[in-house]
Amino acid sequence: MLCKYEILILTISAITKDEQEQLKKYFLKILKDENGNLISFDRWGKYRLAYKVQQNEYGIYFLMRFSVAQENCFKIINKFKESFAINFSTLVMKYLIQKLDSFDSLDYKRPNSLEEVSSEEDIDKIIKETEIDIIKNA
Amino acid sequence: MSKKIKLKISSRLLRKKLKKNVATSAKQCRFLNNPELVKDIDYKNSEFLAKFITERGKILPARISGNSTKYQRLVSKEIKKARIMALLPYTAFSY
Repeated sequence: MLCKYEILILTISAITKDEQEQLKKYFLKILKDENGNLISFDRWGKYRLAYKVQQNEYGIYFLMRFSVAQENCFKIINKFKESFAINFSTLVMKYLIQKLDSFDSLDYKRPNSLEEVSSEEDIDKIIKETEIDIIKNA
Repeated sequence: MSKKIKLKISSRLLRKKLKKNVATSAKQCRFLNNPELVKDIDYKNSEFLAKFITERGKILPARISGNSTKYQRLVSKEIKKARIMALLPYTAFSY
């Protein structure tokens, strides 16, 4: 029986593209060794964190989803935990492993990142609103 | 012949009695009325979960949010997961 898992990873904001690819390749290698399948590897983008994590105010989120046979699921999870603690301890600040129900859909909603810049119209609106507030308070 | 003694009721007590008689509309659980909203209860969907926390970052009780016990437990579980991943704050005064 196949089990689906997702891992939400929080990395430092200074992570380079090479390091991202290195992360992805390492995870793919682990999955290959244990006969797992990668469903998706999404980069959410840069976010301002709700509180400082390891003295960082910003971070980049990655969401990885994979499926694996029930017999090998614990091995894979332990390997991932070891990799976060040993190999990628400088890059990865936090992670959360979650089991997905087999009948749940893979759609999800996430908050907008800082890289999803608003259009010029939105910026003009924000400026107008702040001017009005300043005039009212004055 | 025993006299009936009328006790004076204070204005405070009167107000209390009036409050009880006034029918207050009970809050209804939004998830029982709209089962499609249950999919939005996810630790990744921090914008939706932010509706169930106060300005200080505390989880709203069910008597204020109107959630039934089943969905209040789900919501609070997901808020705690989001807090671990720094998507939601533990307290508002963090920076």
